[in-house]
Amino acid sequence: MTRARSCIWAVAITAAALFGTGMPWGPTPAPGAAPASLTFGLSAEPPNLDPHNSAGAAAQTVKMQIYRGLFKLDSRGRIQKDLVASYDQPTPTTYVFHLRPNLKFSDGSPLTAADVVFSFERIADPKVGAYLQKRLAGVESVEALDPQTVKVTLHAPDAVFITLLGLPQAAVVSKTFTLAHNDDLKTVTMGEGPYVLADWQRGVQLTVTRNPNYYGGAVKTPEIRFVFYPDDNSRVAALESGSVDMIEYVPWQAITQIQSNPQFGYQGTDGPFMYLVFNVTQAPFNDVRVRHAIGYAIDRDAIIKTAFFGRGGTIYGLPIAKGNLAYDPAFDHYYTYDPAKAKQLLAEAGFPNGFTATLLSTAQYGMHKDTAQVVQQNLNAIGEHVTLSLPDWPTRVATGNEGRYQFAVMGTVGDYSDPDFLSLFLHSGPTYYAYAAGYNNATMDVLLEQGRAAMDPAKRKSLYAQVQRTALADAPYIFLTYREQGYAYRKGLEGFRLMPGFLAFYSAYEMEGFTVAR
Amino acid sequence: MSRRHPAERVRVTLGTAVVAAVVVAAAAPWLFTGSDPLLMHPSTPFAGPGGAHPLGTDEFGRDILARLVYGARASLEVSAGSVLLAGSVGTLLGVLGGYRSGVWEAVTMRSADVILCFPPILLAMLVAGFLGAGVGHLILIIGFLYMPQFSRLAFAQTLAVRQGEFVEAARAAGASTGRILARAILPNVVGPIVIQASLSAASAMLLESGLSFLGLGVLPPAPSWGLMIATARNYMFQTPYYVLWPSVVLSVTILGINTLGDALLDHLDPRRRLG
Amino acid sequence: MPMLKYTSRRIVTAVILLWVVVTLVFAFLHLLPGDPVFIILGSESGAQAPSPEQVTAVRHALGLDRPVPVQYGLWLGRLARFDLGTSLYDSTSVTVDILARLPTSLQLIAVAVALAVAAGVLLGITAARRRGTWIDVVLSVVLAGGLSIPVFVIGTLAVLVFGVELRWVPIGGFVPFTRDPAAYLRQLALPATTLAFSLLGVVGRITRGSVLEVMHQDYVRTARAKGAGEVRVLVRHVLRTALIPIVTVVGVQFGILIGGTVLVEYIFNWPGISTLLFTAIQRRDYPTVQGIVLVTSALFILINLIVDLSYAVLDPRIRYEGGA
Repeated sequence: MTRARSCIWAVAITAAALFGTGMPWGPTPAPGAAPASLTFGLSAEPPNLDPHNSAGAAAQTVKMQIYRGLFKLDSRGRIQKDLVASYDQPTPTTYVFHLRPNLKFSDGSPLTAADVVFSFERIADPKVGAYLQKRLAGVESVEALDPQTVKVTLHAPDAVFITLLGLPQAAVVSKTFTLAHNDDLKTVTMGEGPYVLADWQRGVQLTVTRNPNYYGGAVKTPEIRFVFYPDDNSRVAALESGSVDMIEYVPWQAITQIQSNPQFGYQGTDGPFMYLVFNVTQAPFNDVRVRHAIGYAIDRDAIIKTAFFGRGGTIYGLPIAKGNLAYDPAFDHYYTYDPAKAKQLLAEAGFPNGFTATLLSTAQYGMHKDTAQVVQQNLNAIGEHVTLSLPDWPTRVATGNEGRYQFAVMGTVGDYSDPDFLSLFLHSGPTYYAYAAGYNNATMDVLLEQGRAAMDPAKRKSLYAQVQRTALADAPYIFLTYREQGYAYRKGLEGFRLMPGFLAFYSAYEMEGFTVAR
Repeated sequence: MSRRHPAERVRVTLGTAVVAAVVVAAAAPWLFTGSDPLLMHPSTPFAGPGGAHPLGTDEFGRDILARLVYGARASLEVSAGSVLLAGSVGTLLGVLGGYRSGVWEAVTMRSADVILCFPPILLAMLVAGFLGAGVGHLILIIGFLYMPQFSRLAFAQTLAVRQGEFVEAARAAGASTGRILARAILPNVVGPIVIQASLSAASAMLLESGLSFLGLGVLPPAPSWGLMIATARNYMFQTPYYVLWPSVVLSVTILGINTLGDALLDHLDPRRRLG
Repeated sequence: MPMLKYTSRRIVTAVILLWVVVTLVFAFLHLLPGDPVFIILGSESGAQAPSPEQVTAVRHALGLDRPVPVQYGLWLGRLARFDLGTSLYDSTSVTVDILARLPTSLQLIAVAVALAVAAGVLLGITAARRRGTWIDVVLSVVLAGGLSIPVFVIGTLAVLVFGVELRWVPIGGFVPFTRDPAAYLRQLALPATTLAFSLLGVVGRITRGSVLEVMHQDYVRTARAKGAGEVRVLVRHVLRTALIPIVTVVGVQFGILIGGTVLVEYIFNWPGISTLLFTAIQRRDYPTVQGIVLVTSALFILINLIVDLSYAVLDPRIRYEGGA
């Protein structure tokens, strides 16, 4: 029957068209990677590769292989010189950086002071949307004294300035390349790091290969393949089945099974933290006694056990941990888990029969949602009337940015371990979903600014002690728990050392040092 | 007659029993469990079955059995409500479109097409973004989304029957439109519609699962089978039974609904009455 | 020829329909709460707030500060030049993104549908012919099982059993067909079967129901009385008519599938269009969402047209007078 035959032809042609097209869009490396390469399971596909933007920890891991900055974090989390050979600080507000000789970008073009100046200017340019634009607004001028020397002048002394230059978001980019590409570094890269972008298969994986012009010399591992596994279970399964050598963002429920498996290694630490943020202009949380009551009413251990599978640490004060300059054990136990005391404080504040409030969080991130559920349960158990609002993330962000909430759950991590990071949360400023709406304490502002400008560690410590005391008394936030952040890898992977605390997200900074035995 | 075949009988009985049990659980949960589905025991998450918790506890230490029983309510409300909405409005539009053609057909079929072009998630996010989440909105969303399936099916069936001798004869005999619709069209349409309804009830429950997890349906901490399955999926490697319980309950309930749909079809099949 | 007239009419309607759909989506997207600028400038873990100048500058650079009707007009203008715009997140062309991901989804869906229809029709016919016997009951339960068990449970279990425990199939690391057909088929097997399993039930039940209904029709009885063999009768007359609801359902299911394979693609790391759409909605990446809705709607409308036209081919009793 001719009809049947033409049907068959139609199907055959369609099938050929269907299966012959699509992925990949561009050249692809062979599926089985070459022997000495490293395969890394990322928790998300990087939205873009612009080093000055912040697009999540997964993107960061990739960018750190391609780009470098004046300074960097070493595998112990200490600031080290990177592109800088040496520097002087003639005045508290002036820095003179001497670049290493013969620095090159990956295409062989020289990296000079002009590129450094350009990078600072780019960060300051609002339309780039650079992560550090606001924080580096204190930079008054940057000039190239000669091709190897850069002079930076600040408005006021900044104790954290060098640390900031060690963050991945402070990378140095090529002036000529960036301008030639219309200032758009989202999909094209020109870096000076140990690797260059070789291939990017959207939705699948991204590959970087050795940069022959890296100043640090030939790196041991010639190629890193970043495969995207947004689904937690698949990421763990990929490690366990041998498809990848290493994964980040190990889901908390999988940690025990990986640790008990002799084929794999795991390193994790408490770093990011969960907290409650209040709108202090609205009832019932405009009364500080109510906020203090919340601090006593929440069972933080329950949050860790349930939301984080037992992987975390309680915070009964502020997220300032041991090792931080401002750490003082006196502040560690400002609160305890004491529901009776909470009730008493609430009665004093005029809520003997409980207050009514909506707790804002999001359904999109399990850790936020789970924390919210425990908080709601704890509060309702002592007679409050809390309902949950769980929109998706963009709506939650928008609601927070507009200050249209009473209290909300948030989770974040400090960018650096210096107590100056508290300024983000405690200094007055425009409403932002991560910060307490309406919190405005002039004394606190002054303390924070002084703490940032002071250079003497002892002086800073005493300033930040006052900051902490005020923060605890004002209670614009109630900090709840740390959560553990970990990497898992198969035995045979050498060279990986987890960075401590907040810096755990930068642990892949030195991936060129990782090697995998086969 | 095959309707009386023992296999059929057993199946229908079981199906009815399951659906009845679920309806009772939704109406009177206290008959099945004494525990509070919202009460957390944070010190004993993922406890195994036994003792105070016959099916164990979830990630917050809440009793799984209690959450299953109370979850019946949400699942039933969503599936029954949305299917009723979609079925009634959709069938009406489809029959009208198939019988009248012209403008009616255009309106029915094109609006069905428009709805089907919307990715379900997008529509759900839009509605939930404006009106907020909740069981009521979920019923609206899913009902709206499923309307085209009914209208297209009704349209196709009506079209097929419209040309048939029975209708022609009735028209020639001078029967009114209403009579024709009731006597000839509807009985032929009802069969596939009922199958579609049972399919839709099933997929409504499945769709609720995904939407609830996005925060667009049943809000935590209220229990819902869909929400439980979605949450339990994260812990599949560690505690596989946690995902099994609501999956089994959900699957068996849907099976029951489908079985009843089958039985209903057998009962309503006009050809069998005539033949 | 009535068919030609009908077809050209339908095509015109289709274009109008497409325009209505994308306009509605455009309007809804811009009315949704949530600002893409803040999502672009922040991440879920970084605590630095963007400065007000940054927010204004980035919003302007993306063209999001213009009034919505103006943005709509600009978008339509680009559309006329077949330009779907660029993603708000990575400046890649939306067309390129879609062309890279859409065939991958279609491959998955096509194979799943083929599997499901073949198996579903077979099972459905068998169940209908053996109506009322234990075989019918067992098959019906199997088919109902396909409908009842959530697809993502099947998927996760499949990953667990076949991927981790047995190591029969790889997990992630997509290989295109043109590069290594064997590896591709191995990685396609599980997701396609998972998707097919849930489709199987629908097709099987509709087949069974339709075949049952039609089996007793007059013209079938007549053919049987004339002495034609039962199988021949079934294939020739019964199936042709029973195929109408099957084709409708598959057509409808195909359209839903394009938008609804999110879970399968997510679980199996299948780099298709659903996950792209889902991420784009989550990030309020308006151009990408609009582009995907446009393309998938166009595809669906096309499939609908084919389905509707095939009614006339399958059942000669349905005639399209030019007024339809």
